[in-house]
Amino acid sequence: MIELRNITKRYSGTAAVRDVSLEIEREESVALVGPSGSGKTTLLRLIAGLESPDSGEIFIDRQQASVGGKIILPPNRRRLGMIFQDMALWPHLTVTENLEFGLKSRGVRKPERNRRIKTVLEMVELNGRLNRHPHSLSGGEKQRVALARTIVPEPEIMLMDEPLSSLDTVLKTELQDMIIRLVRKLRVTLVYVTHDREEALAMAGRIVVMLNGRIVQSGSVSDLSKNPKTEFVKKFIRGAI
Amino acid sequence: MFAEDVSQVTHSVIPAKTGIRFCIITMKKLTLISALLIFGIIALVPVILVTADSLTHNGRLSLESYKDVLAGERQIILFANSLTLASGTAFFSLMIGVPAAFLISWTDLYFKKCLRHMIFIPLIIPPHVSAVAWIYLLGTNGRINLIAEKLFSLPSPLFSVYGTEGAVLVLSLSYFPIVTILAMSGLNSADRESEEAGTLVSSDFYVLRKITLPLIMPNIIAGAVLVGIFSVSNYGVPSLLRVSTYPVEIFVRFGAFYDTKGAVALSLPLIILTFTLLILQHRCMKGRPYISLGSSTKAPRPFSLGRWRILWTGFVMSVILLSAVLPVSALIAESGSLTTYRVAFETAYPQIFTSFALSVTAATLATLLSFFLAYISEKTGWRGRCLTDFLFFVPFAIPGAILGIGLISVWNRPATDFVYESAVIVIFAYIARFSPFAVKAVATNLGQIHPRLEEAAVLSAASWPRQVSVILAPLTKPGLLAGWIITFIFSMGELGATLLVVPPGKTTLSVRIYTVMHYGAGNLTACLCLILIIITIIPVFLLTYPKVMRR
Repeated sequence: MIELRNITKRYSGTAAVRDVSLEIEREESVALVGPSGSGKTTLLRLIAGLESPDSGEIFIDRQQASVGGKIILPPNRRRLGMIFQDMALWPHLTVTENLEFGLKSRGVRKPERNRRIKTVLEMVELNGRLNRHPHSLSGGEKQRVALARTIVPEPEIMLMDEPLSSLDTVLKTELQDMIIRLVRKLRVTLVYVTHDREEALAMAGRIVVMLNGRIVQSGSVSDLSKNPKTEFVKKFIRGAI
Repeated sequence: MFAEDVSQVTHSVIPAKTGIRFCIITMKKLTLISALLIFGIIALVPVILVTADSLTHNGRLSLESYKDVLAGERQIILFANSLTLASGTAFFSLMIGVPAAFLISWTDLYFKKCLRHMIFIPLIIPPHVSAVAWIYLLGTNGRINLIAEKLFSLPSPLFSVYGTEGAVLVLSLSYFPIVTILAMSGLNSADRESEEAGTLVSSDFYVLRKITLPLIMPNIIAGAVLVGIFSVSNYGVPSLLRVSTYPVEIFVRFGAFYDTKGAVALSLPLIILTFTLLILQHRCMKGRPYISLGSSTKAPRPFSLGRWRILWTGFVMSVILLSAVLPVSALIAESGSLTTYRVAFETAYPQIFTSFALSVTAATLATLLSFFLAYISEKTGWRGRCLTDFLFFVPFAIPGAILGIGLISVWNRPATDFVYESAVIVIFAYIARFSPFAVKAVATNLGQIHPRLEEAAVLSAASWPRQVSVILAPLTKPGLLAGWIITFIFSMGELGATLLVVPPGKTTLSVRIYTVMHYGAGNLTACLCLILIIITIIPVFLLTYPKVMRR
């Protein structure tokens, strides 16, 4: 369970996230949506522990993870995986090495590493690309490697920052389905950042609409379409933005 | 099956211990802070110590040492000579270096591939070696002068390499590649599109003048300023060519009278000058890349030189001829028979070995240190890290001899004799003087590594040593390599500081050349110079060879 209490984060004076409170249940799938600059990515990075909030508290599994200005639980101990917008595959390592890195860091032994990598590669339907470097992979393949790298250490929470934004429509749908399948199968909590309405609706049980660093409204698709709190939510849910 | 695994692990979540986190964070901070401390002790403390020492007299704060040396007529001569050297060398380096950079990176020059490597050869020849070569060519009994005398039956030598003009000539031909490197890096990172937008509406030459040149102006100015600093703090060239400059004077004061305070006080105007230049340089570059590493993704459209193609090829070739081919040929001609080489090797192999070993060690340590220093300035949000960028260059802006005096006063104590009496002090001098360049090379590279790559490693639970050794260091390989090569080359040719700090029996080849030259053993000096050039080229060639072949 992730709990944010009155989180504020400023970058050189301007607030990227203002007084945000949010609870995400275990195995829930939440999409953070909103226009660019609305604070979605910052919120995700705060949950990951890559940034510390200026004020407020973050709890992960009822354990204090961050508190005003400090990171109590470092990112590597939050049992979460993150897919960055640009994937951030290590360009000098092969596919296997990219997957192995996190396992080695956690001291997983060789036979177990191989077993896990094999399982994960089957899950993302990526075989026979083991010794390639990222630059020789296609966009979709890179995306699968990034996905595999994130799930191979078996995280409880998966954070995704617009992971499909660089793909064309066909690939997008394909990978979208794969992510949904994996999230259900692995029973992880998903926090998914996007500005794409279709993606948000497909991915998440709950949609959190953000604007100017604040949460405007949070609820299921039907909640939002029945009782949109603001004009912005109304437009977004109807696909007018 | 997999889902089961996950749920099993889920139940065995280890509660976070703040203690472990504390360890991880301090480990990173610890390495970075120790890097800063090591740099501070090796490079900054000596400078601070000598400056503080020059400000005291009989234990009290006083400007006594400054009174005598600052007012004299000597000071005016020294300052005038330094200004002439700095501005003259900077001017000629610009005149040669900027066109060379442009021609080599952007035009359809003949033999472009070959010329783009040849143009950097002068960097490998230490300036004082180049000065020796030019003495053989344009000295009183220089080959060119002798030929001229015979041809035109002149009563006296036609040219004289001795004096400020000669020093400007030698220094320009040694240092212009620095301008070329910086200008090329500017050209490679410049926005090609704004230029192409320009070519759509006007001629190539107009675009060059109005768009390209202003875009790379900061790099050009920074290059010229660096060359200026290098020239005024060079000891070997003015000393061999009999020009009175600060480094020469400092050496006399310290070497002959052990007048430490006087030597430092004397060089105050020079230090003010170089610091002003350094600040100027720093302002110009403001986060721009110093060197371009690897190939740029944008394939440049070569400017067509048309009927000027032969002329410009000739220009670049004559630059290489003057700065590399001619000096090396003069040395070969002077060295005489093969027996001289045997004698040279037999008498100088300890120095050859010392030079090589010291430079390799210094380059390796400096590169290692510079990785962490570069990390501080590029990747941390530490307060005052902008200042570090400037601090790193302080020991470079101080004349080598002053740094040498500083190192001696720090380490010449009973407790630290193991440094003072061994080659360690020489290694310290090299690290202090040249690691700033390695820091710049690595920082440029580190700055290009996307922060997400490091964050991904953090999220993968990688410890700091693993982040560095598996992710960051391999990604910074080109920068580390460039840093190593720069430090190695400069260390091989270092003279000003080495002359003061080198312990007996550990003389380097550079120092040996300088002393032998003073005793006037012509062919032996030439041989030693060639040996120095060759042993400098070998590792540089080996390290860059695979890259050269790939292009």
